[in-house]
Amino acid sequence: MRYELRKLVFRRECIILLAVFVGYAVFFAVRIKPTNSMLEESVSQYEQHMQEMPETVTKLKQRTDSAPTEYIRKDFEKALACYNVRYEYTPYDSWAVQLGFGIISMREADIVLLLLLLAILSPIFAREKECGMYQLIYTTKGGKSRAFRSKLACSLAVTAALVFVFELTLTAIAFIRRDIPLSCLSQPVQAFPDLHFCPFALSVGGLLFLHFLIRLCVCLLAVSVMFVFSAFVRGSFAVLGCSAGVMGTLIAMTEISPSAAHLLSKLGLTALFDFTSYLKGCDTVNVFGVPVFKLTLAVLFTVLLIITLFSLSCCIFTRQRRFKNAA
Amino acid sequence: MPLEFHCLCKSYGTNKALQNFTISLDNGIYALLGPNGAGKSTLINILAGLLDATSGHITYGGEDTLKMGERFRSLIGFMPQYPGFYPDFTARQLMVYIARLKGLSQSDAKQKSAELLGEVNLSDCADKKIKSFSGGMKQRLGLAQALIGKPKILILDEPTAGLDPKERVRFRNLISRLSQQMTVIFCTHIVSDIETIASQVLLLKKGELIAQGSVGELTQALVGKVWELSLSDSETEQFLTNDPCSSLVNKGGKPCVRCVCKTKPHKSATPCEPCLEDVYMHTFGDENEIKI
Repeated sequence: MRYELRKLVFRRECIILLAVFVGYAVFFAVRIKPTNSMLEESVSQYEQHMQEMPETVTKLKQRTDSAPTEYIRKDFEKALACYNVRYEYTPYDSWAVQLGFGIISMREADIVLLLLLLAILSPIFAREKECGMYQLIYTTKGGKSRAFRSKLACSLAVTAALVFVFELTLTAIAFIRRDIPLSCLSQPVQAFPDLHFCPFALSVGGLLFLHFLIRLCVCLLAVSVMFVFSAFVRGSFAVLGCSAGVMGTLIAMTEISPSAAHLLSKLGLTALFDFTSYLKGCDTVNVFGVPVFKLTLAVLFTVLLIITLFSLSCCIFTRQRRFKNAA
Repeated sequence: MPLEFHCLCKSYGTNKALQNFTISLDNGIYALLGPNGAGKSTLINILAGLLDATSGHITYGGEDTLKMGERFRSLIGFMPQYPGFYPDFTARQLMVYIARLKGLSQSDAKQKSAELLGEVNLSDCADKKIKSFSGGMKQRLGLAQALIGKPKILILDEPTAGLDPKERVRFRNLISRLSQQMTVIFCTHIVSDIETIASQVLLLKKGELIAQGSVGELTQALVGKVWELSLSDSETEQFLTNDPCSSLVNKGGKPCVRCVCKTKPHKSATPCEPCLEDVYMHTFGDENEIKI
């Protein structure tokens, strides 16, 4: 793995990309300022919703009692459990924290991170084809399975490190700007208006950690897609382009096409790009008669997809027969 | 253990690059000789596991090399025709990387790398980046990495291309020394390299093995058929045009035509000792026209 890291780290392009990342972080730190008008609008919308809530809970109770199937009854019971949560909150502080979290989880941050990650990792397989090293590597004893394992370990390490640094940097900026005061880290997320009906027992600190894990999941999905493309596409830029295209399409579909987004959100592929929306209520899917939270399903499906894509790329790279034609 | 090729074929669409190549090789130095497109590199790439054969198989010690997989790859050392390296690696880093891929421990890898870099006269440049290397230095580095791990089968594609005469002699000495414990297969266009070290020469033409034997056996077939003759300029030009298998040599400052012919081609022709180049020109001459 040391040699794989050496191939990536000492590339001039990596240093340029990291400079781009630092520039983005600085730009992010100085650009966005939460305004009182944004807070006031959100607070008034929430207060109206809370006024209607007792009627909503009463109707839900009636529907639970008269549910036609076991699955619907269990689903309504889960929703009721979310509605029964009550916490005190201070509106201004809560909304500022929510805005601070919203800034950390901004879509453009995801895009910058994904592009940076794919640009750094795209040469991990493509480089050996570009410079001709594959002829030496593939003819050695460990040139297939051992080399693949080494590249996989390197990719996972770089992904985890980059996501951690990225997340830490943005969170640190939010703390320094006081969008998220340290004192609220231990408060439950249900104390904040948008997440009042969150079905999971999470603290704000836990939510930040969950966000880190979800972002890591998305990045691992991008890396696994890149691994598969590396088997068929020649050249670092081509691999980068194809992988970025697939991930960009998934992100764009959450914004552009509601029907496509609905289908993909069921599969979980787009859910993780906007996962906080799945924390706002009891959003479940029927899995063999059991209501399962969409976010849980999305994470499980994505993890399964990641493992499948990595396994597929392992089979391709370590297969006995390599090329049909001379490269 | 013998390395055997059984009816090996490789086709690219309708183009047959290799046709029913069958041979058994033991320890020694085997040279593949043939014009461009004869199938030498195709054969070498199939043996190294970089190419799929269309049909046929290769066995080592009676076992199919494809089924052996990693075990067979641990026995081979491969030097491609144009070795590519990571430009930002130093020579030492690359050698250790290849050594680790070949299964050597970190300490063994460092030790063997240093030894082999010394063998190919790259010790002074061991810590310089490969992107600063000349073509000849890269060629020597390619040879050094092929020798890591003491392979049983050494596969070299144009190993002396780009080497100066001193380095070529060094290479020949090194390979001759190692060949007693391994099977060396190399393809080259430099006939003098083959004449000096090869124990067997395999002549390939349009994918087929048309002749094999030692240098002596192959040249023996042309005894009494190789001639040298001195002609005037116009006669020389006409002779070369009519007989593309002949070559122009310089003897004592005078141009002299050397040709292969069953009977005396000219009254001034004198017989001479055949060499491997004569065998090459005679076998492949219709594909290699000399134009003046």
